[in-house]
Amino acid sequence: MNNALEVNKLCKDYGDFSLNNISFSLPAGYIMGFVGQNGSGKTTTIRLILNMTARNDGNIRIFGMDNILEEQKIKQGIAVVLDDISFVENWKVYEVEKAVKGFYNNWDSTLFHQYLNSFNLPINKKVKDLSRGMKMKLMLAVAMSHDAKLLILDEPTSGLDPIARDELLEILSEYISDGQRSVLFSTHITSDLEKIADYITLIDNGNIFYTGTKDDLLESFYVIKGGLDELTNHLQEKIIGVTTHKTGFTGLVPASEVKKLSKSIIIEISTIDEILVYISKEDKKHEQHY
Amino acid sequence: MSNIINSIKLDYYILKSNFKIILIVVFLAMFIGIMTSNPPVIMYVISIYSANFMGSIFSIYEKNKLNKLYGVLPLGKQQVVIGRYLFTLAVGVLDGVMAIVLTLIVLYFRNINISNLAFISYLSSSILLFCVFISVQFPLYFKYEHSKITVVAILPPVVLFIIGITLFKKNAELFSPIIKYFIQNQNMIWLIGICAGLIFLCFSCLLSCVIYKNREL
Amino acid sequence: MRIIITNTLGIPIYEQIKEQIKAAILSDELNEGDILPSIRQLAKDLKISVITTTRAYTDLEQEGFITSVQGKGSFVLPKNGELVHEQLLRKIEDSFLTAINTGKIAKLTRKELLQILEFTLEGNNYE
Repeated sequence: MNNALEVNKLCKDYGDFSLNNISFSLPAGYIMGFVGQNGSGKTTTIRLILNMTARNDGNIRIFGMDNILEEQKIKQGIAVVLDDISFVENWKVYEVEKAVKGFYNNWDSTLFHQYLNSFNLPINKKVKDLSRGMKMKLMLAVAMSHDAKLLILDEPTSGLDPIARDELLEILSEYISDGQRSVLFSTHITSDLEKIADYITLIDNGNIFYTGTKDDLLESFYVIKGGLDELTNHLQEKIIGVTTHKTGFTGLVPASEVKKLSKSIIIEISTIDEILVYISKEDKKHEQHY
Repeated sequence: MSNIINSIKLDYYILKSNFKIILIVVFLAMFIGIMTSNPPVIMYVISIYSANFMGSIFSIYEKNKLNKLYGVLPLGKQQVVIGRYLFTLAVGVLDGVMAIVLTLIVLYFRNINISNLAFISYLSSSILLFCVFISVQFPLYFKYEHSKITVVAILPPVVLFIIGITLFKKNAELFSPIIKYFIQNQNMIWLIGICAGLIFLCFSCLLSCVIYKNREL
Repeated sequence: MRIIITNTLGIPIYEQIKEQIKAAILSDELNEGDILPSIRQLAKDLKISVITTTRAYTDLEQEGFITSVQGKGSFVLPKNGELVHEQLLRKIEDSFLTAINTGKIAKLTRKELLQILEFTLEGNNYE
């Protein structure tokens, strides 16, 4: 299988924050959710993928090509939607096309206007007069009009109402339905991904906590709840992000621990959100020790 | 090559909304020209404002966070730099023509006559001034955020200019053979002015390429 | 064909898909040669991951219910008598296990449990 994107042992040091040996791969034709709390390194990783900032170590391959050596060739086939509009605010919608289409060999003007139509984006409206949702749709229209094989989205749904978010997911589903295109979707709103993501890469404080299929992730960790007396020492070691109250405890455990649990402990399937929350609780515990 | 043209087009669209400022500059220049005893000063006014106008593209870039756009487009950094300098040169030429026309108009309507030598000197030095402004400011703008160094960026050309004039006045005797030469070969004033300007721009462009290459978007 | 998935039961989604397609085949709702929705189309319709539908189809193929032809799609195979039989036997075993576990909770003896089975068989006129 070809990989649309391969990140190998990527490192970036910012002094008080660093990315440590980030590695993950996105096979062609699938959607990968890139999740982590704010400040965990998602945007930094994406900036490194786009070579907007220099890395300290590691390498990145897109469509099998090195992301620095063949940067321009790669960018013909990449489409990016970042969290904020990246066009001149005084541009009218049709001027956006005029400004960027020359750069793309495969720009499809008819397709672009079709998108404008179906997204209800008025051609003569200035970018600054568009609502947040419409700005995102404009960026998406531009992104999807030059036959890009890899679509990278960095927090595209922040600030959108649930309806707009659902529309975005519909659009994405349609976009990858031919099996040729791949999507890297970075977000901290994981409910969007619970449904459509094929792969998940979970980043926590500059480290990869998990990378693999979403199905495997949800079968790798379970939420457990029990009485305080059931919280054995062994369990204390293995449990992630444990919270205790007078009435009991909750926490996250790896699947391997589940069969060793006493029958009275409640086991639940986790959501991606919960996994994130428990991991961050575990981090905070470690920080308190220092 | 074609990407350089695309970059120029992009610069054009970025500056497009600011073109109305040119009208203001024209009025301002005319106003000054009418009020002053020395109409060719119009050329200096247009020269300085043109340089500032081209510099404003960096300001728009910063305000609209265009680094995100530039980071995504298949556009090399060297192409951006070269395209911008070429675009600036083209605008400079257009403004030069405009400056000549406006000055001639004012001179005509106010019935002032000035010598060819004076005219050519003013024109040549205003072209040089434009080039010096751009050559000093662009590398600074490519390295730092526009809003952070706006003031700093204006100082160097002004300082250089003042130093130049002072030196010139103090050492008039040293310069007199040069002045004599120019008086005799008036066409050389053109040539030296434009060549010097272009040389400054070239060095500046090279410097900007190196600076911008290492800059994070 | 009816495939409805639910998040509330704790059964993995690919299992739910498998079971519903198998049930449709066993009940003759789907016949030999019928074409199934493509893996991607199904994922899109159900709003789930392509990997999940792929897994369901792969399992069904391994179990001999369907076959996938590159470029054409997935088709229902003729009901393999042996396989169907095996499936049905497994279902009986599962049901018996449930009964046995319940019997343990109710603290029935083996004899009492077998008695209930006999009574039920008789009541059902099972030959």
